[in-house]
Amino acid sequence: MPDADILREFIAEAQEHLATTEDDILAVEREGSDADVDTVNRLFRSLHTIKGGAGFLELTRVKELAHSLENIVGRIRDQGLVADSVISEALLRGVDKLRALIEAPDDDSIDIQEEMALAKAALDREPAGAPDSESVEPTASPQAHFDPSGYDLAAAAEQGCYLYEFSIDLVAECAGKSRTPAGLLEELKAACTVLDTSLDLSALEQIAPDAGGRQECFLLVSTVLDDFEIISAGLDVAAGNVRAFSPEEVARFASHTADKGSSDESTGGGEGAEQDSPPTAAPPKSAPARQTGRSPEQTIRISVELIDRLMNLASELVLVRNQNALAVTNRDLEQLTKTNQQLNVVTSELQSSIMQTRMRPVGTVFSRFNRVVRDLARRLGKEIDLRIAGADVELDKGIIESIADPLTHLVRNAVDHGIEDPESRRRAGKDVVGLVKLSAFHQAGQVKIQIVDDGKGIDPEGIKGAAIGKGVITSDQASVMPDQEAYSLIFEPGFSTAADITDVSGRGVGMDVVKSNLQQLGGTVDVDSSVGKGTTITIELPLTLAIIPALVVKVEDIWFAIPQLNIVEVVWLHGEEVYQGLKMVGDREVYWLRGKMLPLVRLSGLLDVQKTYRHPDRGDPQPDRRAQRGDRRREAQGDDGGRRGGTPERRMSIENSLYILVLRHGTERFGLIVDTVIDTEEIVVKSLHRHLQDCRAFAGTTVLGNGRIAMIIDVGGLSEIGDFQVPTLEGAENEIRSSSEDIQNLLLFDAGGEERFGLPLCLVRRVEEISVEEIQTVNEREYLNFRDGLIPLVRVEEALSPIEVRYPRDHLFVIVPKSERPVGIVIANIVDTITVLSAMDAATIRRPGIVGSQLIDGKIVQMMDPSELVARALPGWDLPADERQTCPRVLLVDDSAFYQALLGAYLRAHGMDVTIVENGREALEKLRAEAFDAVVSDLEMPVMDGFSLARKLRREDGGASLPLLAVSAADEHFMGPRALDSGFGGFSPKHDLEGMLRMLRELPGRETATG
Amino acid sequence: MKGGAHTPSVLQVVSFVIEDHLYGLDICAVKEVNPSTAISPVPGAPRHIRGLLNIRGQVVLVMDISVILGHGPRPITDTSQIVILKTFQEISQARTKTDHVNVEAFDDKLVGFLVDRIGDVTALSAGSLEPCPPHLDQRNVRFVRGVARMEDKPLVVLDAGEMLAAESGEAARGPSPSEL
Repeated sequence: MPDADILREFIAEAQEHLATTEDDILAVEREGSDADVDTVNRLFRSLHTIKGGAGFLELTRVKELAHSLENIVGRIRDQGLVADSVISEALLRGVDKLRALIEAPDDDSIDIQEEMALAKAALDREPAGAPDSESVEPTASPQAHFDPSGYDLAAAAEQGCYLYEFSIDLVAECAGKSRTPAGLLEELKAACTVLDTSLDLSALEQIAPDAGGRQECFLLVSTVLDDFEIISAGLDVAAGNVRAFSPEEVARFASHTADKGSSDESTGGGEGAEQDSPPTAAPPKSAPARQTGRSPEQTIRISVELIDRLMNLASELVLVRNQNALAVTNRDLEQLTKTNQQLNVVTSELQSSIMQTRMRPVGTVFSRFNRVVRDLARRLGKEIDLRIAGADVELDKGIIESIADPLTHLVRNAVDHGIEDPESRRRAGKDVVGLVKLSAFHQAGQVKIQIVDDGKGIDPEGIKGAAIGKGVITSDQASVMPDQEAYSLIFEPGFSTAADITDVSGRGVGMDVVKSNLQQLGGTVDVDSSVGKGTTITIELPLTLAIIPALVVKVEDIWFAIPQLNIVEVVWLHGEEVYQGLKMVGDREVYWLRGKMLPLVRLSGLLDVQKTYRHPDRGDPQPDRRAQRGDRRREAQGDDGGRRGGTPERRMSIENSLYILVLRHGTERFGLIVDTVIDTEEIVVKSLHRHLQDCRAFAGTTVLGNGRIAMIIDVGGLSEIGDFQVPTLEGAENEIRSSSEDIQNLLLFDAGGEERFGLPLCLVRRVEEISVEEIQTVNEREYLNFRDGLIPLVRVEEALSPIEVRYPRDHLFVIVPKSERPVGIVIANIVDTITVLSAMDAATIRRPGIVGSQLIDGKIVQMMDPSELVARALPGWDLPADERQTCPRVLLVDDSAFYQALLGAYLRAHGMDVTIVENGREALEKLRAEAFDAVVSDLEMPVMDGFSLARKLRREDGGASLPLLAVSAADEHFMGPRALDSGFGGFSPKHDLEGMLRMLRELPGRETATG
Repeated sequence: MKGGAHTPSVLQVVSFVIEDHLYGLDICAVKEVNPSTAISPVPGAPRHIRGLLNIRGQVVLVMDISVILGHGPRPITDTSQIVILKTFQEISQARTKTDHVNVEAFDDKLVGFLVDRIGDVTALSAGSLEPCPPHLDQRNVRFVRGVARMEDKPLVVLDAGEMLAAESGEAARGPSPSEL
């Protein structure tokens, strides 16, 4: 027995050699007579080294097999033997066997006769003669047909299923039994799950049952039935054609395919052949032996250069510690700051270097796919060109190991179900050789792996149909579902069963497992496809799992960490933007981000965190019962004492700001509202306690630099809880347009009597608290020194009579509305600022200076029109001198009673003759009958909207030069360009009345129109 | 002292107070007692999970066992302490034989119990431990290993493993010593 240490060395070395031989063999085969000399030499050296080592260690079989393989390569090198498929097959099979021998050097049961024969046959052939490939094709043994997915086997084993092998002649089985091969298959699938088959199921229909001849077919099925006689009787198949796998065989089969990864999976057929070979062969003991042989797997090879770097960093760390200790002893803060910086640098470098030791090129996984694709393609009779890019992209060792199976599954799917057979490709006008591209690249701090095929693609309608059939979705859902979402259905559990091989282009076998495996790694998977053109599957993976960069945020007093890879951007809204940026769609808040709707969710609301606010006087936190933005009632105890300083500015100060984190999860985007963004930090991920596993919002915990514990947010979980089922973007856009009209931010105030008034905040420039002494009276008019200038004051009773008012003796408030010449309206008390759904009633209460009324919290609130109020109290004040002369006719088109009143009053107050109509059609009729100097139109209206109105007007001769101004309460950036496109001369937000007026005056064409 | 902690006939119990009731835990199950109560709450956690605590860089899950025992959540005061239990690994590697501790129920992560006040370590002889009185609700009996009559009040010895396995639903009402 050779020395154990030497043996271990030999095994490690031989395995390294074998790892490269496979690719080399394939390269040599591909290049044929132009084979690269270096590649051939490397191949030869590898085999030669193995042969030499094996000879020294008296591993006879390894030596013999390596020798015969070396002979073949030698002939290629020296005598110009061209490596065709037969030769490379012999080499590959030999290498497989070498690997098995080397992993279990003590296992005497491994037989090399077959491989030796293959190698001999490959050499003995006439090199120039026609390759007699059929005789040496590995498909000679039935089990070689089987190459089932590891997932399917594992699933079958888990469910306690039994595996059976059917070797039946479809033609014979159908003859005289009044059934078709497809019918037989259907019966079979009803009884069991077909794991794999030697048959192209899609070609079944073409087999004529009465055509005679033979149609041999091997099927690997799993079922819960434990008596195969029942199956054969039930299906009316000769019992001799059904063979059961023993539980040991199943376990071994499963461990071969699932445990050992794809490179062995492809050889599973070959090993299966050994296991199923006649009982004369001793039962293989390779499974237990392999476990002892696995120990080299546990070690990791690190370059000496990296180790040296780590050593250097470690010594640097010691130095920094010493300096640090000195600084602490001396209480030298300056020095301490310096050492802290050094510590920072050293720690980061140390961390990244240690990470480096775990990094492995993704090529270690990719390389095995050359073999997988080649073998699978041959078996399926397809021609496939596999192109690999980015094999040097590095990933954490743990991730590399875990993606092997999902990737294998995806690649096999692409080859098996994506790429069509050559005949179909030719008919479709494609290159007969199918293309599968496997690439890895860095993007946004993540690694992306793409599997692209140019096959037949996935039919979204087919997927939907199948999903409806399986009850995964309803037909109503299917009708509105975008194609992109339909593709993701293949990842739904329950959608995919093995019986789907023939349905819906066959994708979806175990895809849910692929997805969940990748998700466990913190990755995502997306499908995109185009029928007839191919399919692209994109996998996104983090570089590593242990330490991740995260954004630390706070909600109330609870800290959270959100992985950076889920964060697209952070939007900070403050002051008025908070009021204007957020909109409601149904009962969901949304934000209009660069013309796209972003559904919002509040972290506090999602997690049910009790909101608090600082009590303005006492400074202690109080529970805040405001449910959301739309509910701005102040706490009752906080405000009925006529508390001073309750101006809207308090809410518009810096405290009244919010952060929207734009997060992504797969294709989904949503905004998460948090109170405060603290910092970015590299966090160490700790898994969740068992007791917290049900908290779907969290992926783990971490300890922050300040010692606080932060929950790591699981963005996928959040989006599940949040349930961002926004109807469709189209519908939501319409909804937001109409709903944004309805939301009003109101300033509620008492003028000094019982009556309560409201004023849209967009009309308010400022609210000032003043003492009575500040008011000076000149010529029966009160004036106030406001920002270094005198402004006249107006009291509500001057314009609104009869009204009973009693002002407080000492303090008053002055509202300064937005107007060209400043003026103040004296009121007694500010009640609140509130966001309400506008339901203004313009008819019930009609009086000058009031545009309408609305019930808010059971109290009548009269909506004030400040311009009319001022105009009545101070006639002529708000009109610049030149305005009084002309009286332009303006047609105002708006469907909202509130804005009809508000805009109408404002324009009239500025000396315009305003006519109001409800919609575009009425406007057109009106314009045909009468002459107007300008049109101010809302954009969204029933019957005919503003866009159509503008387009129609611009086409008509009379309307071509008419000044057209669009006004809208919806997002300026979204609506503005569209309005201008359709022919408006300008666009103004509805809340900016001054801007609207200015724009109206400046609109081109007005001079000619007014004459 | 003859015997000592290693013989099963003597049970060393860490006693503590929750709402004036005296409870105890087998010392074999206890890793340490820590006065740090800067607990970070976990939104959406079950009612009996008080939150997470950072003890020397380790994250400890703090259970409010008062909820499991039917007293309702306890306020945190100056005397509040966290009784931190051993992890599964620690307890299975312990030299002390712990047949009477249900090892399987222990977590592989640190878990602590919030208590109002920590008491003495008391040695109880196996014989002095009486079974649970039969009038207790059978659903709650599983948390109690036995009751020892002390001079002033009964000491209810809890089964740490069972407490760890408690779900918030069944924790709605547990035994209180006043019923004993």
